[in-house]
Amino acid sequence: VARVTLTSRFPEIARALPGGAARETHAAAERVADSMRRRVPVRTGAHRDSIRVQRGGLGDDAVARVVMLDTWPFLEFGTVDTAARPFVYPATEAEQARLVGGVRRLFD
Amino acid sequence: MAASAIRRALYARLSGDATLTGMLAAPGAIYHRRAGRGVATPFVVFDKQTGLPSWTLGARDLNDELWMVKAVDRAPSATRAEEIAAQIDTVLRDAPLMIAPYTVVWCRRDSDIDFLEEDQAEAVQHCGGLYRLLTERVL
Repeated sequence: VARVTLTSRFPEIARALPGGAARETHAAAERVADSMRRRVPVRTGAHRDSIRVQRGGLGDDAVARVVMLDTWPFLEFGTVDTAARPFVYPATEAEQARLVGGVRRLFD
Repeated sequence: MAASAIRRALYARLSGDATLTGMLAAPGAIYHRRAGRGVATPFVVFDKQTGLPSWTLGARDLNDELWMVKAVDRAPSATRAEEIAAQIDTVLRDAPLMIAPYTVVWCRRDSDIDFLEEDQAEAVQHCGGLYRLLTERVL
């Protein structure tokens, strides 16, 4: 008689998920911030130097925010006289697939 | 994919809508990248923000791009810019853009653009959106 034994990894995954998700999101936020610093137009350097990562928030350790001077839309989307010089969306778009892949590996 | 093909298709789509052009300072007040100093408002400006190609067996088959399309208006109120932004969305949502040999499989507003600029104590309203364009090569 052949026997097949099935075991659940759900408890193991559930234990590893919170810490793993936090590591992945924090690392992704740091990569996005670095990418933004490389891409942002520099005149005085104020925008570049203001870019930083805040970890945690909303009651969730797996949250990370990239914050910067609130005048960033003038660079990202342009003003009445100047063209857009995007650095936020290019950095975040380029990171999405890597972050999703990293979180997916937590389930392997 | 050449950005110029999408640029031309977007311009044709936007400038071909009489309702939209009728809301602008001039029928041709639709600009790529920048309008230029002192140009009358309201106008529409659009630009590619970012793009990610996907490659399959050496051929670029799928392109995922974000294009900014926004109304710019020197006005204390955002109402007129918001109305233009709404018309932009009507014109671009699922628009059948002609970008041969590619076909557009998705054209939707991905996120909003809505901010105030103060230019020499004068309010300038910026309203519009980032539009995600997915294009696929027709094999």
